[in-house]
Amino acid sequence: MHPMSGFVNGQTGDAPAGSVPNDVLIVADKAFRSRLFLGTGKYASNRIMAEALAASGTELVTVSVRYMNVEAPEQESLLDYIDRSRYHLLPNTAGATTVKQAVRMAHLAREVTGTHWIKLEVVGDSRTLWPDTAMTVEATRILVEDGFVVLPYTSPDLVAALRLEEAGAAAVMPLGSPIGTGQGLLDWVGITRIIERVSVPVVVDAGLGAPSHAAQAMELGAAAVLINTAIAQARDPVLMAHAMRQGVEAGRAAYLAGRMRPRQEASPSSPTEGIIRERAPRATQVRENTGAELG
Amino acid sequence: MILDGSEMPRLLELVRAAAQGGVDAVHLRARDAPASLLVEWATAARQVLNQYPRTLLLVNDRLDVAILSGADGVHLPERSFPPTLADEIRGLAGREGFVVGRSVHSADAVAEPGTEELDYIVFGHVFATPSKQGMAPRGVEALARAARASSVPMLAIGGISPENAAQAIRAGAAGVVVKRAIVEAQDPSAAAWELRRRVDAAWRGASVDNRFGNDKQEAEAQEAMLQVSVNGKVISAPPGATLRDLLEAHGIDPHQVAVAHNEEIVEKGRLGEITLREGDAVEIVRVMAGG
Repeated sequence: MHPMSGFVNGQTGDAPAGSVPNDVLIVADKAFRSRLFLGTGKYASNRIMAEALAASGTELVTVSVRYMNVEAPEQESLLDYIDRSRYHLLPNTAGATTVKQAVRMAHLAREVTGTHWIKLEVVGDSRTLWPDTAMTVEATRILVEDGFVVLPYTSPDLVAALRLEEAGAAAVMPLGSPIGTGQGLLDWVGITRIIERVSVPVVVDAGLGAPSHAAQAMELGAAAVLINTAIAQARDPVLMAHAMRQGVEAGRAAYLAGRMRPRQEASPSSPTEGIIRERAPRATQVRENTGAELG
Repeated sequence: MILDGSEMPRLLELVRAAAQGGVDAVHLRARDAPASLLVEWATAARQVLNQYPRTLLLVNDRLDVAILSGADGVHLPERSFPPTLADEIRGLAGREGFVVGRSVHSADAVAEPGTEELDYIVFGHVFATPSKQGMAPRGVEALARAARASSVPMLAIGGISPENAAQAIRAGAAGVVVKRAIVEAQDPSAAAWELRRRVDAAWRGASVDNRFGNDKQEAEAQEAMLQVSVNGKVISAPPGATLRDLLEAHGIDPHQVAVAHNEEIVEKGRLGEITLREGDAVEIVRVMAGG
């Protein structure tokens, strides 16, 4: 069957996630039909978040771990809104600025969520939330040793990505642009370099603001994208989740289809033969229709 | 929290304990002290509180000392500058947000002109206190009347304890002012924290029950209670309590959290096996939204 037949038959609807048949993303020990990972932060309510997750078709969602307010424990838990039979959890170490802090967070996250998957974030600069790649490599090594499946958030830097792969990362997740900015792929060349050189899946994480950004990342050959703010802060998060899903699917299909090479000179798409002229063309051997003959 | 001259040998210890226990403002009173000592004390307190930006430093009466020491505001006794001068006082201090508060002892004083210019007023003494022996306390009803008449937040003072703090809040006080309840406690920081907890709970409209026992046993139990740090806050627990008891007492489902005890992560199945000891550091972590 042609890989595009899903589209041809118009089956881009609700289920199953992912539109190209048999196109499965493998990360460590898990297979994903959807190449859109979602964050759960910044939603107006847990209910809207749950609807957005469903509309996106995602199978992997990120969460954070934090100290609870013991004096006034919340009555409702985020986990009540995440159907664990549909979505795998990917707890993060957001907020960590040192290796030790990130490693502690990861262990507490494993205890509270029951998953040994971790989105490793070690931030080196609070204004840009730029990852500290040296610390991230170090923490990756430790956590892999401790039995974690580590998906590190990193900068679009080839060498950092190579070191993370060597340290045992199950995927590398370069940023498109700083977290929460929605500026898209500011360094698509850097991302492309990483995609070409590492053998683990490359997930573009952070900064994607629109479905066109998600599509662009997928066209470049990213294995998946991770999106939070662009959906949570859209006027209609559920509709935007749907749009992001379509952007990811379009970009992925385009990548599999193999895009044309760009070229400088124009090349007509229509036949250059038989172009209709201003006046009816005449064969040169036909005699002229003159007035003398009529007279 | 008020500090007088007699507390000055323990000044820095008490200021730090108060800040750690969640006190909103330290009020340096020391009525008869000379300016040289006052400014020295206030400056030392200022330095400690620079580490605790949530706790304000207020100087009693002496606007000059408040300004020179970098205090956050001045507290005016009833016979100090009239409240109509509040704006001029702020002008002299020359600092954004300089706090000007005042003590009042009657409902009439609450309505004095200029009161609306103040940041807060303190009304008392509400309950009987050894510092006002022979003077009848004004009581909760007078407090409630004064609170209704006041156009600015009104704090209750006089004989305030963890037991009656909620009563003052329910009568309309925005907060409480204490001295003995903290400075005479064996552990001033824990005492401050306990007051803070009661006041916050009263604000939320919830009654603070003693979660580990019933009211009758509370007094004795409080004596023997051990103090542990939970996520960086001081929490009381009865002797012999386990981690599981601690979670249960606060209505926390063990399946929704991860617990670390003195930095060691404790598996859910072992929560009942670990008995709390004085000074233990407990961390309780839960899942939240995140990207």
